[in-house]
Parts: sequence; C-alpha cells; structure tokens
Amino acid sequence: MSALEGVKVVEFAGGVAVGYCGALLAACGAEVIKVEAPGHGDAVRHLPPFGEGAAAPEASGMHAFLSAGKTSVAINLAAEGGRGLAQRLAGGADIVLEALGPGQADAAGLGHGRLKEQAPGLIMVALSWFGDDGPRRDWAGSDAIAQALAGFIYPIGQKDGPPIIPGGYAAQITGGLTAFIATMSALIGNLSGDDGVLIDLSILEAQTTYTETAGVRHAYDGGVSVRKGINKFTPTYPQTIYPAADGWIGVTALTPAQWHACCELIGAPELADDPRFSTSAGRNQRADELDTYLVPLFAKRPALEWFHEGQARRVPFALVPTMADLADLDHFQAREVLAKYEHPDLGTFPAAAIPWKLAATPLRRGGMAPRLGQHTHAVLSRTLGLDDDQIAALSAAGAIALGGDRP
Amino acid sequence: MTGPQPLRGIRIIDLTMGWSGPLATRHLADMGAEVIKIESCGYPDWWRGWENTPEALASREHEKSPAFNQVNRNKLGITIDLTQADGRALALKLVAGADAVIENQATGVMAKLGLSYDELRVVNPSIIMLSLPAFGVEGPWSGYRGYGSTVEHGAGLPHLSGDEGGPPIQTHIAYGDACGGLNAVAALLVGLFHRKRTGQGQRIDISQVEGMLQLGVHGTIAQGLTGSPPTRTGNRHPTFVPHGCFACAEADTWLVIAVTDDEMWPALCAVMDRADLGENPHLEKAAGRRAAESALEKAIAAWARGMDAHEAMQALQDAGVAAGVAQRPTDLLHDPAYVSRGFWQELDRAVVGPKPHPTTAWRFNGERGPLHRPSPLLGEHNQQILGGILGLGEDELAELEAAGIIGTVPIAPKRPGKAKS
Repeated sequence: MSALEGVKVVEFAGGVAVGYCGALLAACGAEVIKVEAPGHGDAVRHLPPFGEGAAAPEASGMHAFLSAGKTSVAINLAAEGGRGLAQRLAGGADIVLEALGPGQADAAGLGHGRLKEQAPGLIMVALSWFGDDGPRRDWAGSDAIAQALAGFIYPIGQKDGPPIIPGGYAAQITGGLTAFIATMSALIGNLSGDDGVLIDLSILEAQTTYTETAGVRHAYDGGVSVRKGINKFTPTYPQTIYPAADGWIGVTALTPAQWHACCELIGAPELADDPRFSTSAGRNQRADELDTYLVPLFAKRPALEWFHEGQARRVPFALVPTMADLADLDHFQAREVLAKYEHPDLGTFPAAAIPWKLAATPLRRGGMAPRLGQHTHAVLSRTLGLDDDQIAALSAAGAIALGGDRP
Repeated sequence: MTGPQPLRGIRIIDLTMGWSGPLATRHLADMGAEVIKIESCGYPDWWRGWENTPEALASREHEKSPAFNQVNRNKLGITIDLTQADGRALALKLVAGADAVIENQATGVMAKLGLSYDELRVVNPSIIMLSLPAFGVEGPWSGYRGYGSTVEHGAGLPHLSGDEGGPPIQTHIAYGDACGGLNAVAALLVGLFHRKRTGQGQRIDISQVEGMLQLGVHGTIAQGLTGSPPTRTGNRHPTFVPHGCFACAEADTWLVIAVTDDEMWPALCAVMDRADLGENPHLEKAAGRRAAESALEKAIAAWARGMDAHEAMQALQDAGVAAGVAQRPTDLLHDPAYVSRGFWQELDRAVVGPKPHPTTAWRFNGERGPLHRPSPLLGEHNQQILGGILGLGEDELAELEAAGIIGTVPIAPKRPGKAKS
C-alpha cells in the first residue's frame, strides 16, 4: 500500500514550487489532479530543459518530471462555467494546492473559506514568493530574486565581483518541499480531528532555511557575512573543490585528525604541522596561500581515487560528479537514484527520482506525465459525473479544453 | 502561546546532532510533537561547539551556541550514556513508548550501541526509524562520511552554477545539512501518517546527497532528455532576458534583476528612463533581447551604478519588475518583509537571554508554530522525562548520575567535530 493511498489532491498549477509539492504527494501515492489553463498550461511547461521533436506546451522535461503520475485537466478559471467546475473538483479534495498568486484564489471563488463550506477538513496550501501579506506580497519573484533576498547569493563568488546566482530552480524546489512538510503535518492533524487549515507558504521564507543561522549568529556576536572568493566560505578551510587529474574533488578537512590525514594522503605531511595551517582558523585566514600548495597536489590523481582514499582515511572527500557521471557510478546505480520518466511526446528518459526510501511504503519512481488537458474528459466524467453532451457544451463555451483522450 | 499543533501526541526520540537531523526534529517540535533529544555528557551535540577547557566549562560555553540554540528549541533534552548497558536500557524504554526514532550518527554507531532498527523493533514493533547519512544507509558508499559541503559536492550541484568552462561553483558552506533535514522530516511525516492510519512502523533510509540532487533535478533531466547537461549561463538565465546581478552605488551592494516576462522589459526601461530601449521593437521578445544581451546588461549596469540598491528594488517592483537586493544573511533580522510577517520571534533562554528565532516558513490560518520552550540545557529534562515518563524515583536518578549515565555537565574529552556519517 502507498502511504497516501486514497488521498485526493487538486493542484492549481503555477510554477515549479507547487508542482514539486504535488509531485511529492503523487510519489507517495496520492491522486493528484492538475488544473491548468487551456492553451498555455502550467508555467513549468515553458521551462527548460526541452526535449527535441516536441512543441510547447509539451516539450518541457521539467513538466515531465514534476507532473509524473498526475492527471491534467484544462479549465479556464476566468470563465463562469470553468470556475464552477474548479470549485466542485476542489471541494471534493482532501488537499488543494495553489500558486495562483496572493488573493487570486479568492477572486476565482476558490478561497479556503468558500471551499471549506463543502469540505470542512480541506487542507489548502497557498504557495507564493513572499507570502499572503506583508510589504512584498504583490512583488514579482523568481528563484534568483528569492535567493538574493534570503541572503543566499551574497556570499557566493569573487570578493570583488558580483555574487553568483545558482542555476536551476532550487528556491522553488525548497519551497515545494517545505510546503509538503506543512501539508503532511496538517494531514496528520486531520487524523486527530483537526479542521481543515489554510496554509500560507512563502518561498522566500523556505529559502531562508539555508541562511537563518547566520542571521541568528549576528544577534549573538554581531558577526557579518562576507564574500570570500570562489568556493571559499567562512569560518573554515578547506571546504572546497579542487581540479583533479580528471574531474573535480570536493575536499573538506575540518578537525585536526581530518587535516592530518588529508596532508598524509596528498603527500604533504609537512603541511599538517605548519603553524600557518595547523588550525582551522589559520587555514581559513590563509586560504589563498594554502591553495598554492594544495592545488598542484590534487591535480596529480583522478578524482575517484582521491575520493575513495580520502574516505578510507575518514576524511569527508567527495567526488563532484557531472550529471553524466551519476548514471555510471556504482553507488548511485545500486540505490537506483535515477528512474524512468515518460511523456507521450517526449518518450522515456532517466532523471533523479524522489529519493526517500520507506521500506513499508515505497514511493512511486518516475512515471508518465500528461499532455495539457489529456484527462479533462475522463476527470469531468468520472469525478464530477458529467456526460458527453455537458462536456461538449463546456468545451464549446471555452470553459474547458479537451486533450488527447476525448472520445 | 497558542498556535497549530497538528502533531500533538506524537513522541519522537531524537538521536541527531549538528544541523541536518536537529532541523528535521525542530519542524516536528514546532508542529506539536514531543521531541526528546538524547545527548550524553561525554558526547554532547557537537553543534554546541564548545572548547574543552576549564574556562569554557566554567562559563558554560556549550550553552551559548547560536546555531545549537536556534535549531533545538521546543525540544526536551536529556543525557544518557548509551555506551553503558543501563543507559541503553533506559533508551529502549523510551523507544518502547515512542512513535519514531531519528538518528544521524556515524554509520555503524547505532548498531554498535545495540540500537539498530531490528533491536528497536523488539521493544516496539511499530516503531519508525529514520537514518540520514550523507550517502544513504545502503549502497557501496554508505559508510562514507560527509558534512554539508560534502553533500553539496557529492550531488554534483556545483556543476550547475557558474560560467561555461569555469570551475564548478559551491554555493554554501553546509547547504547539504539543511536540505538533508528537510528531506528527512518530509519522509518521516509520511511514515508517521501511515503509522497513524495503519499502526505499521518502518525503516526509512534518507541519503542527504540524493535529497540535495533534487535541488538540481533540472541537471539530471537535461542529461537524460538531451544527452547533455544544462548549459551553464553564469548569472544569465536560460529563459529570462535580461537576468543578472548588478552593482549599485554603495560599495558591495548588489541588485538582482530578472525579466521573467516580456511585459517587464518596457517597465524596466521606463524606470531606467531608457524609452529608446523600451520602445525598440527588436527587444519586445526574449529572443530579440537575447541577441542584444551584452548591450542591455551594460545599460542596466550603468543605471544601477548610480542607484541605492533598496530604492532601485522598490522602484522596479512598483513598476512590476522582479528585482531583489542581494542581502547579507545578517540583514534578514531587520528586513521589513520578514519582520512584518512575524518570521522572527524572540525566546528567552538561560545563559544567553532573549534571542531571535526563525519560525516555520508556513502559517496555519495565519499562525506560526508557537515557540514555547528554549533549546534544552544539557540534561535539563532528565528528571521530567526519566522520572515522569519512565517513573524513576529520586534515588534511582541519583544512582544513574553517580554512575555517570546521566548528568548536566559535559565531561572530557570532547570529541572532535564529527562528520555526520
């Protein structure tokens, strides 16, 4: 049995964060119906990476990953008839996820207060960049903006250069994961008899998980954050990445035991007791100077050798695998880190599956993602009991769009 | 203080230390679970970060760590020397009455202590046990150790940031810890839900590296779908044009601007007073702007250089353009958006006094998880838990203290900072 078997989720699509929260619920066995706008669909359908030979809105690998195992219903929330359908679908759910923007769910008649009249236990999760109140409520956001404001990017990069913006969708993935934590907490509360709740989740605040300790520290000792250099951070060193003979090796050596073992391994035992570098603070202060010794030494051998030999000496080295390496490394193969994702127009491809291993309730790995509106007919007919004529009328009125499965 | 308590009645035995595991159990405690954190006097949580000197002990340095104090609030703290048979027996009695055990000890430590999953099941057949080593419980590298940096390295994430041809870019000193903690609490909640519905416990294996890999999932998708990793674009974005981090007037102040749709472009140009660019038909669409990206970046840089970063951000956001100052982490305590939403709350604690805490990133019907208890002093709740839950009397507690099984004062030698697995 899946952990979330029988749990019904309606996801009002809008971006990676809400899509990821829905993806986690789906992987745990919930039934997730994704409601998308006809024509354009979920914003994630327009995000790279794209597959070849498919056109928008079906070309996005992000969509294929995030929507695996979900059904897609295309409903126009701006149309009267569409709104009524959305209300009925949402009212039949245990969990509604939405990222329509602060205030937009209420405006579309999908506010928690209204839906709760039909479904007292309904858990509704509103994801937004900045939360549903406060001075930035209506501001525009993105992964980079959330990371900037959360204090995440300031410490990355050259001392004198601009902070470096990380690639990808990490702030939204973190937001979706954090929304899932809140959602599961509420779902457990429901088992104890709690009423449904409205959960307001700020992606900015979720991203702050990574930086909040620095803020708290400031209140204790007044310390401020610095940007120290590429792959260099306070308060200790080395905790960095060096080029190996092939590829890159992540080197962390903090404790005296780790530092000594590291120096032995790289053939520079004299560095271990060199007073300039014998303490973690000293290595941090003289990181550039230390690199003049370490960079040529780490260049001598392949990364995988450094990795295994470092770990054998209990020094937390790590191979820094490329995306291509991941598929070939025995450890990741043994743990089946990659799973098959599918989409009717993109075919099958491997990607990193939701990684939690629950022995009694294993997660679904990979799966098929829908075309836009692929399940409009099936869901309206099966879930809401509409007949073919009613569905055709709604389609003709522009309230819905029918995808590939219409009869 | 009131607030959402959806996890009330759930008891967690917490054998985690550092950042990752304690962050996971902080979320549980914030949502009302009873989290009993077990340390020992000979092996306190290394995030207490104290030096083993008489002076440090006298001034109770182990109670002054901001990192420890902010991540262990709302929990109960006890000390048990698990290496002694009587200590192990106490722990098993607690496990017998618990819903879940979570641990991030070095691989093999739980087995060595006689506290493996199979041994826990003997005293509590429906227990959930979650472990979160760097590389996971199973697999050829499962014994390998890692800090948060190791986790970020090991997930390959640095290959997804920075310039094409440049070095991989590490983004944080210990990002992997917090991400591992989030994955752990998420998975544990799934297990707790299942247990509450069915009574069935289980073993949960979380690899922090694999949790981190999800943050760069676009990388594995690109590789799998196209046969190549994503193109590294520095501070540019594969879809949004322009997109970058620009220097403002005051030294080392920076503004990130992201033109996430075509409407934002003329709005940005209006704020910059560059109607020539805003009205240029070649720049209406992202593809046109991409062709001229370097020149557009120069125009933005020239404008930003004369601006106060916060004023520029406000002006751009007022015009509907996504913009954000690259704040220092230390700026967040006074940031009006965090403050107005009640993100930071103060909690008074012995030894350090009132200090700010981050709350949950979510609100239930407008309410945050309440802060009701500061992080425990070492062994603070020995009497409450061992007396109250296990029913030990004063004499028995005194015997345990005399035997060095419980206590409230750290004892030498402090172990060096431990890697998490």
